[in-house]
Amino acid sequence: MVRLFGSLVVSCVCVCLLGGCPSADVPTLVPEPGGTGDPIAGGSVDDPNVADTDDGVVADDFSGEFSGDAQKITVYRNKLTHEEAYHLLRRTSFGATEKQVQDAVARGLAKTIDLLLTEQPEKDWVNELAASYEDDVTKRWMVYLLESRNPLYERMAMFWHDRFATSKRVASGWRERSLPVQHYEMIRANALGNYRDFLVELTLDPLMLLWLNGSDSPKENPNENYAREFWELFTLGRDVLYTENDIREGALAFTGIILLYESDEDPRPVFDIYHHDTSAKTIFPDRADPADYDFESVIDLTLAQPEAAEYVARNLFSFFVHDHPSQEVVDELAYVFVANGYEIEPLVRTILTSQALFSSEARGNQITSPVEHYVGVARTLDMHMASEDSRGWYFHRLLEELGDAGQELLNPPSVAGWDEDVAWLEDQWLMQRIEALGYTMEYGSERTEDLPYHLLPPTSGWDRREVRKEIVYAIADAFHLELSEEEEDIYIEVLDQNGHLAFHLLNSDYQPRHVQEMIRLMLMDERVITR
Amino acid sequence: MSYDCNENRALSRRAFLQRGVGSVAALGFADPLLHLVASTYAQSAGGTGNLLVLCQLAGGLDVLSFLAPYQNSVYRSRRPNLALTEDEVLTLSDHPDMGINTLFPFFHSLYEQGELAVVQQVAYPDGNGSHFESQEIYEYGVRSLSGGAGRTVKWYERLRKQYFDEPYGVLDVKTIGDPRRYGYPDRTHWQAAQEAFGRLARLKRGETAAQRAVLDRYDKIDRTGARIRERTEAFESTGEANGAFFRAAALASAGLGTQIIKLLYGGYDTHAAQRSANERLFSTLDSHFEQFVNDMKALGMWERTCVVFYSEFGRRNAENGSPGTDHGYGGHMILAGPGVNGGLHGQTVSSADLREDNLPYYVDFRAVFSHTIQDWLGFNPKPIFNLDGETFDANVGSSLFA
Repeated sequence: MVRLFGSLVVSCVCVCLLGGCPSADVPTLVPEPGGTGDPIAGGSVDDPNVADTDDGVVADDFSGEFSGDAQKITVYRNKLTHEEAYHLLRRTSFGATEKQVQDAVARGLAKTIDLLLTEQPEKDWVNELAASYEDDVTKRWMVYLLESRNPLYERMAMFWHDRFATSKRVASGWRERSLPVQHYEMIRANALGNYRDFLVELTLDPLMLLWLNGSDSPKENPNENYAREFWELFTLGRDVLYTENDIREGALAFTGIILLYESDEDPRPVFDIYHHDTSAKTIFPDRADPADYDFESVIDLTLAQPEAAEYVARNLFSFFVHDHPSQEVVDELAYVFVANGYEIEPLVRTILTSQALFSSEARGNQITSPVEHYVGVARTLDMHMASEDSRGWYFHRLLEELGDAGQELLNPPSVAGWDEDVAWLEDQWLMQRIEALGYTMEYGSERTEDLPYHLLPPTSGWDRREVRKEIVYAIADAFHLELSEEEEDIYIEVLDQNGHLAFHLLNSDYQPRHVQEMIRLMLMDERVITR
Repeated sequence: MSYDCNENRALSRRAFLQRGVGSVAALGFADPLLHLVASTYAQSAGGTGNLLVLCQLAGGLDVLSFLAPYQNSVYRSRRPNLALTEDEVLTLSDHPDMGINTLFPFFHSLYEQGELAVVQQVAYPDGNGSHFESQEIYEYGVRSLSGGAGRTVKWYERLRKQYFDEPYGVLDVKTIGDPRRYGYPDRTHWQAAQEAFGRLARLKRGETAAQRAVLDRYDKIDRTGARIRERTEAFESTGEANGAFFRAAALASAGLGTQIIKLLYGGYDTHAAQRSANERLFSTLDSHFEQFVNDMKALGMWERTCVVFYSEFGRRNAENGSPGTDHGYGGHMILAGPGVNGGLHGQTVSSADLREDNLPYYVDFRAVFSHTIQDWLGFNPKPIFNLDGETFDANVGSSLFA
């Protein structure tokens, strides 16, 4: 049975508002658009490569946790509570000030998502600041992460960067110096665009061509690096559908792309038919006849397989919601993706407005990466790159610390990007993360140095215990933390160093260090490092 | 004792908390006894108390560039650009037709001293060309990753739990980082934040699995931190390199009863420009390893140390046009130390092997680890690898330890 999923979503809204949406039938995938070969519908059950995945097994077993609302992609109610709005903004914008949370509550879910998905022009000073770092892609991207008016676009760029992980390390020559920035801009420009176009641009991206040897793959003796990771990491998933033989044939299909180094220009990709293997290649032999695939038609062939849309659906859902989507949820989202011609935005919109995103299983279940943690803190405390230091030496050190904490953008540990969630809990990375969180910038509309004074009580009373308690709660409130009495005591003891140095809190030489130490500790709270 | 004013209430509460914390910690490891307890622990459990160092070479080591059948015509014809010539190898005195890459002078000298064993053509049934799948197979010590207990715990952690379940039994250099800097980086005079970090972790339970994992890790850092830092701060290496092997030597020097140290060198996925990549990779590994051996000798620990090098797969027999090598199948495992039975083990690479796409495998990697566990650490490896539904041939064909 095939039906239009868009209307299913809409028709469900009113039902769900009344409490209880009848479980939707699993929509069957529409026939693949533009299929090159002879695709079959759905994954065949007895195919050892697709059956029996973790998700497939668990899907029928959901009871208790990860059941009910956690598996519903029908639209959630429009009116958000304060906590729901904060949760939504942490997932979509890294973090949020109190004002931004209140605005989201006032707007409601639909308008908030509309706004997040509508790209705003960046402020001039932000573009100029980013450009001032020239070819240093890590710094340029960090400027946008911290200061962009389009945080969801940056977050989506982070999503794709971790899936299509590419490293600046391979751009070692002087001629290649601008390729990392080009790569970031390509990812950013396609982050919410059309997936097919994205894959074509990715395949032709000069940095990617160097990273996975796509431009260094002669047809007589091709290099398998790109073909393998294209399926394993980028489009299908480990051991899904493709075989070792498909990889060999796929490597032939991707031949013909070369990187042209012309006079003073940046290297650019060119498809040269003389370097392309024109023989008939057998790829996914159970599903398609042999053909002379080239890089574009092998992308189309891949997209024609239901597993490709499922892979994006499963990854995006896990990125925003939780990592236990049922096969039903994956199928429904894959349907949305295919029915919308592989446009990424409608898929993201569906996920961000889903019941599942607001279910209890989707709360506090993700461990942030060091960069996302820092950016979330900065956005929550209204911290900005205002001073010379914050744009210069301090910024430089911050990015080094974040690298030592396990995450330097455009320098992933492997072709698979970064391991996520609990993998971030390597001891040394956590300790480096604490160091990184000590690098503060300027806060609030007054751009105060050292501390977010706009949130704190007047400094004159900081030698009094009850005012120290206010300091603790000012920061806890910003991160929506409820503190027990014991926690409160512990934070106050950090402020006054176990009572030894309370008077120092009136001394401007000591004040920032002790309060920063307390804030930094609270930023490592298990509810702040997770989201 | 008497408290005579109200403002001490907060302090007394803190003192109470500290006492509570202190007693919990005391259950874990009493400091003065720790060294003694840990070092005798292994023997009492039937172990030898020896040290095993696991060095993972991530990316897929091209073993034909490590140990070359440099006279073999099939080898040369399949690798017109990458085959090592006679000038590029240090020949083995007991196998003059084989040579170790000149980028590995220290490995070669160990071989000639009888302290290096190369188990050739090792893998597991039905090879998987994915780095990540194959690495997991090696780390978890199972062929089938789906289903069942043991698939989520690394095999050396299973070993620790089974035989020497104490906190410093297995140390992973990737987790610890620089041991001399381990612990909460408090910048204040009274170290109140450092202290609070551990107290908060023990005070709270966490509302979600992720939050509980965070708190557990904080607690672990707080409990193990001071000791790791204190015991390694004074460590002085014999060399200048500050890589993973330096950190492994520092951890070994700490005297924490550690039986297994895990470390990783990456970058072996040499699809292109393999010669220049290997120049960097091989000479780094060789010199870092040499420094480690010198450090262990200076500590008087080399006699009780065995280092096992392994990689998720070998690489293709034929070079590609880049020129590099794509993902292969069979590879070699390398064991080093005074206790090993030096020489070549497994099946020496033949012309027939080289005519295949990839080197086949004749020895299961779990057989090599099993013999190491049994002969070097003195534990029974059966419960570690013989999990439900997992079978493998435990035969290596020769004795790996003297």
